[in-house]
Amino acid sequence: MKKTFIKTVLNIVLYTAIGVMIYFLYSPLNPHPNNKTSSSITFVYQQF
Amino acid sequence: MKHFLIAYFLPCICAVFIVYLIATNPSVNTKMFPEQKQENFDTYNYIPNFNSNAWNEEQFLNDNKNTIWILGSSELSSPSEALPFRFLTKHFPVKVKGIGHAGNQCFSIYCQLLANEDRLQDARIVIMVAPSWFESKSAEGTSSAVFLEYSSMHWQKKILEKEGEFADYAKKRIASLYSELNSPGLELKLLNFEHQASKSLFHKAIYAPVIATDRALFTQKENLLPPRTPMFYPDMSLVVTPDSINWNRLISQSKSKVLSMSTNNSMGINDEYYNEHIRGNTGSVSSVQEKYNQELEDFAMLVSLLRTKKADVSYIIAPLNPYYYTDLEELSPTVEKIKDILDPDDEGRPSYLSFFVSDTSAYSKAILTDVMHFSDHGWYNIDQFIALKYNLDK
Repeated sequence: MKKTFIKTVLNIVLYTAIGVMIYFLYSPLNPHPNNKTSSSITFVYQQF
Repeated sequence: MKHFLIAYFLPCICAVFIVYLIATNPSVNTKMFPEQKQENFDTYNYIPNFNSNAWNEEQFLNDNKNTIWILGSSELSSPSEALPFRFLTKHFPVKVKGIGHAGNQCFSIYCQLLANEDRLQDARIVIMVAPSWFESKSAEGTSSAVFLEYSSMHWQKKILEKEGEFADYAKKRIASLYSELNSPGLELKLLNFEHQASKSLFHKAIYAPVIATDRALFTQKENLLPPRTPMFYPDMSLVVTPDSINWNRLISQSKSKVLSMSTNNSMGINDEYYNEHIRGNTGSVSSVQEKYNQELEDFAMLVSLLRTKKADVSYIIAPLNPYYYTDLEELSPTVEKIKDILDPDDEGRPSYLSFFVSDTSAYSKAILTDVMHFSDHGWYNIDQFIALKYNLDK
């Protein structure tokens, strides 16, 4: 039980870190030139 | 199965929720993506384009009491020290700022001003009008690429929120550029759809669901993107050399200097430019009839906008070299039409300064450095006009 709990907490930390990293890289607020036309929220909106 | 749900599925749901909270929190976003501030404030004396730069956009038409705005196209890219935003800023207690590079024609300027129309009253603005805008392909109006360089998503949104004759015209013109836009944003789509919907009741019915959907998405986008962080704008110090300008001497000296740099041709063209581009050749203009001249219509709307919003505006009509362009009389009716559009100001002084002549006998060879760009002599004449118009000498 304790092992499952630790695994759950570690997975939350890991998945959150991955999610934040992806958001940081692909957010439309990221001013890096490579981000201008990459997949981003702006790009998704532009499909409508 | 239970172990999988607790150890993998539950963390996944939790992570999505936490990332959502982070991504929608403006203060976290501000820290993650700090707005890049311009370090050297003096560089704002001239900017080639806005290019979505929040700092430059916020500064535009700000502090009108101490600032004169020069809007134009390629002539402003010159490195000459005689350009008003360099010369006048150095010698008078006024900030002169130049905006524009090649292609920044009437509709581009119109959109920049329309998006900021609440700042136009009494704003001191000088529009550099180039006759070459109104001939050949340029007469089709501002290109879509140039329009996007100067009108960011934020300014398109401002135009979208406006109503009336001027906003309708902007929507109509954006709709005409729409097919050239690669992957247009929601703002541009709505501007286009609203113009299409205004054509008839039938169009309105057809476009209603599309507009409603895009409006809903637009609201979501607004909620998602944090507002632009308010920035501190330090006032640019006015560094003034306390000397009075002897305009007559300055203008005559610059004339002699410009003429001394034109020795290998009789056209008054700078030697280097002549060797590189002209070499004895002549050019011609391709005039466009008024009813097909989109640029002329854009110009009339630009003048009307500035007049309606009571801007303190003046216009400089640039010349073309009549020794190089041998058929300039073809462009004369267009230039006369431009002058008709520009009425005298309230005090009876002409609100424009025209250098355009089609006849070589009336042309001063030192005004231009090549076939269409001002020399130092030309710029000093313009500096004097601006200084007189806005009482900088007092």
